[in-house]
Amino acid sequence: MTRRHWLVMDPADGERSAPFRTRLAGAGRHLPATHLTTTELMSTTRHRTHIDLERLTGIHERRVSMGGDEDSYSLATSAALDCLGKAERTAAPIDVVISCSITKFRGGLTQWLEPSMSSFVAHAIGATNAMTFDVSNACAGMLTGVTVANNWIRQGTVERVLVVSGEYISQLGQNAARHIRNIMSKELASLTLGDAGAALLLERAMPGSGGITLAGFTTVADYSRLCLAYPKGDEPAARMFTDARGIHRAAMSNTPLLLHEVLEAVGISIHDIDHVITHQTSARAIRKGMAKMAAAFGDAPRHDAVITVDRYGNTASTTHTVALVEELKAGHIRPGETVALIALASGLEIGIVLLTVDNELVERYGHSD
Amino acid sequence: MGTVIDRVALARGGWRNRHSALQLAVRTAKDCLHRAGRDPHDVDLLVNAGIYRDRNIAEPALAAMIQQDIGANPEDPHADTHGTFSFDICNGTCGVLSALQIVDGFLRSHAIDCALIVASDADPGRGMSEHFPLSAAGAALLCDWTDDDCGVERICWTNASDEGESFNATVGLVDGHNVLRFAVSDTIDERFAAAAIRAVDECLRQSSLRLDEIDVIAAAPARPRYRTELAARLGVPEEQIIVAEDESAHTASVAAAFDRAASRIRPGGRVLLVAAGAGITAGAALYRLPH
Repeated sequence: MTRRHWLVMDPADGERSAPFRTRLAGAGRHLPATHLTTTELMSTTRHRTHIDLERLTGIHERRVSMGGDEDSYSLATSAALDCLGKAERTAAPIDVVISCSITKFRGGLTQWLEPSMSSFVAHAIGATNAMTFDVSNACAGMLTGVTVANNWIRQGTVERVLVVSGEYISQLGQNAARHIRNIMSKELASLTLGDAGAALLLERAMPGSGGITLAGFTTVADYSRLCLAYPKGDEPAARMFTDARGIHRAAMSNTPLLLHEVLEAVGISIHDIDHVITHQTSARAIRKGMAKMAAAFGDAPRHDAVITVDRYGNTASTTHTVALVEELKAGHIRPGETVALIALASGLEIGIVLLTVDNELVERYGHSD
Repeated sequence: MGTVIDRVALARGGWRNRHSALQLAVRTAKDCLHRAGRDPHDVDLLVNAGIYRDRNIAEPALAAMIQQDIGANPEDPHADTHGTFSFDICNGTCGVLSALQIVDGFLRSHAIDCALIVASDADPGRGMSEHFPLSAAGAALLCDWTDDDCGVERICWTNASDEGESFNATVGLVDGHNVLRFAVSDTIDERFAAAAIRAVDECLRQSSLRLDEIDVIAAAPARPRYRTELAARLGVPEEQIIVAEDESAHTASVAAAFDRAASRIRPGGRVLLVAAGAGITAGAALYRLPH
């Protein structure tokens, strides 16, 4: 039997019933206190670049760890504790901790390949019985972790999963500032990066309750070499080389078909989506993408796409959670509303997670129906 | 019902690919598919569990590059057929076991029909590493689902945090250059074996099985002292614990041990697969061979 949908996704409810549903019990984040404006960052470039980065990307500022006072590990741990606090849950009953960051810096700019970052975070928060492993999937890491967790929770394999990520990635921007000469530079995207920690607590719920409706992913691997990050030469951390236009073009041409697949699988229209949170790379790119989506569907989600990139920059794998927490705190998301989280990441990874938030979660952020 | 490992392919690094985990992974994945008589197009999910790679690359997932290089649906999505989803997981020597559990979930829910697990490690070389202690080795496992009474039965995990004291690997600036370095303690084998035993006990307890009901034990890593410790703690002769031929293989060692162990028992026999890695984290899985 040949599968007739492109995305890897669990069968939608009704198609092949799973005994449980995955509920979002908490979402937490941790942002470093230091603000770095785009003007400040661009004033450090070695060459006169003539680039108006703020106009180009809509990024006014990002948060950065100063001198390594916070690293991937501490950002992830703080976010995990914030998440557990919001969910009013303890760490002990967590079955699985999945850390999903690109950066794994602990103790300054030392990247830990082993042990896993998830084992460090699990130990730090007291999730001593949890199974641990890291997912590495560029900026789609956290939503990949959510997809794996959702699959296990739905089938009853586990009850509670913490998906966490700490991205101390702003050093790549500082490295890029030494090399960028003009707007054609392959390191331009590095200047958009900001630091953040994020965590999502997912737990078992009964069928029919709110939670994750569907999670689907694919890798359009013909574009796998369009964005590469690795340690290079004598500079700390890493450098990142991106064909941003190539990625944007590929993402824009392929996402509508994939979103259509998801909507068809769950039997809703694009107008039934209340909030869209895409990966946050540039405000202009997000608005352009959504306009193209609206043209392709002849309709649009109920609200404009969420934009937080102006305040926090591109915080790599944490962007969706950082934005989700922002919206929950602001009271923009109401109980029962549908949120579409869309991952677009190096690989080229395209993923869509559809979820509804319940009253219990919304109340945790000081709002209610 | 369960996830069946349809085919295992293994490779050792030669002079051409001893510094390329990517090339090793691609070669092993192609070999695995070829020997299973499957087309790359069949692969719905590709999970890479290898760690030490070309240029110490952090992004994208190496799995995406492997997918492109083996030609598993790398093109733009189109209607009425399926694509491939690829990502990496990192869990040291236990990575293949974690990948197997992930694959098992998606096969069980019928989200996919066919998965490929790949694991390869190679010294990135060119001044990017220091005293690299592992072999260039790769493995690929082709997995699908069966409704028969066989395949993956249970996977259990234990953690005994030592903050990386037994084994750790880091990349950082050394004398102005980014270098991959390792630290291995003298007590690594005893500690790994102790964690592995706890995972085995839990797995057997949850399955209501005794050790003498297991046909063969496959263990990773293949370090000789770890194997001796494991045998002593399990109370079985050392030769009953099958490990990879290459004692310095890393993430590929689970697959290599499984392959050797599975070839020694009758169809329908039961394999206990046990792995311990940095963390310390240890996993034990029960797998029943198809009849």
